Amino acid sequence: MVRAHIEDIASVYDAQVYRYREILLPLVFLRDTLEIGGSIDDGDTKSALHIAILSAEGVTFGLVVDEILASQEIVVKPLADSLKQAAAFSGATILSDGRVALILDVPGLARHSGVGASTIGSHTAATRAPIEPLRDPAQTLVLFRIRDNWRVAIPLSGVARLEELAPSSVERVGAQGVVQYRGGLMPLLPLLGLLEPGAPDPARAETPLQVVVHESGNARVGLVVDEILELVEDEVAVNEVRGRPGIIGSSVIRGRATDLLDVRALLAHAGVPGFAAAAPEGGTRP
Amino acid sequence: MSEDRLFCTFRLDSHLFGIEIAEVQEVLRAQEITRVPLAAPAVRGVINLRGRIIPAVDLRRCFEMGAFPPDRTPAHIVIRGAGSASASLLVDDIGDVVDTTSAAYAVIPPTLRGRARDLLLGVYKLQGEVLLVLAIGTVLRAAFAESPLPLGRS
Repeated sequence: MVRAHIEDIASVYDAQVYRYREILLPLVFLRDTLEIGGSIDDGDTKSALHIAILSAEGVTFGLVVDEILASQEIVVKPLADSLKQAAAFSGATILSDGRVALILDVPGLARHSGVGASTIGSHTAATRAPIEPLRDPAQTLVLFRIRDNWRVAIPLSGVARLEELAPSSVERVGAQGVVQYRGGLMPLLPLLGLLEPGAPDPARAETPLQVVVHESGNARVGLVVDEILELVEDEVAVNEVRGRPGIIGSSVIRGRATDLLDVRALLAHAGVPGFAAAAPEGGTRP
Repeated sequence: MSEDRLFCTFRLDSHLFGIEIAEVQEVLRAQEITRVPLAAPAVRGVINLRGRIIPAVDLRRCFEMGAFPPDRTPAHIVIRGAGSASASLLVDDIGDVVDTTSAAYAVIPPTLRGRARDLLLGVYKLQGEVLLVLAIGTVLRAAFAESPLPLGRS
């Protein structure tokens, strides 16, 4: 979720886009899509827009809303069949004060708003800008996907940067894949291989590598994931502690079961050089 | 008409309407309604009925009566569905339960035209007043089917 300054909004013919991390993000104005009419009733709309950056069916776009309130874990309730035909909502939920909140059908919105096939993922831009620091890093998690549907989250404090690396930039030192990074060599480790030693490293010859850079002292490592999903700013309740090294436990984030990683412990357990078990203070517990 | 002669009555504008008691699950005072954009025009929104989310149908809109007076919050008549509540009807005021056993029943007069004709089953002549009996199935079908706007149709 971002607050976009109006000078970062550009028009491409009659479509508006937002300059976001070196790419142009198509914007969908929710008021128009839902035919609510009127204009955003906000004193500072002339200078800024509230944009939720959404991803659905391989498409990333910015949804312009009046105001962003909070992120919250919810229980999804079905909508009556008689309301489904509108196709704008996938369900509803009941808030703590008893009011009903509607859940937007994001893939439906993306399809019907004509947000094209251009995606962040298909961009070959070499490097993403670092994440903007958020107010409370202890509660901010970076959400990833590894393998088909394994969701993992890392506290933002354990993430130095998120990078998208061209496959051609990967070199080898012995058996270890490395990449030249900020004047040094950074080893690239598939996160899946760390969590499940022996898991085959899927060949990704074509697509850019999604890499989470973790730093500790002078040591630096790039964890390769399948997809960087989003930043979640939320209170996370770990409901089940797994007896696996590097995994603090699992939780429900954004309605999906998600494993919470302790990167430091994971690297120490895997014996990655420079990340010894007796790591200094400043760990990654949420 | 069925054997059941008990009707839950309510007012819409100046008219007295009735729904067979067997169709009614419960009657509620003002409820917070969450608007549902792009829904059918007669669907005012959804309400939270003890954790279930059900649509709220604007009966004034169904009968083309114009909006509810701004100073009044509509009451709700929750209609029984198959196994659970299916919808809530927004009405001006809830009336008494009326026993029509001794009242004369009449079909809709042929001179009644317009939408109301399809939405009523018949009328009972009460003392000094006429009770219009709602064809609840037809009302709900019409309310939900009425050209909701498919997203992105333009």
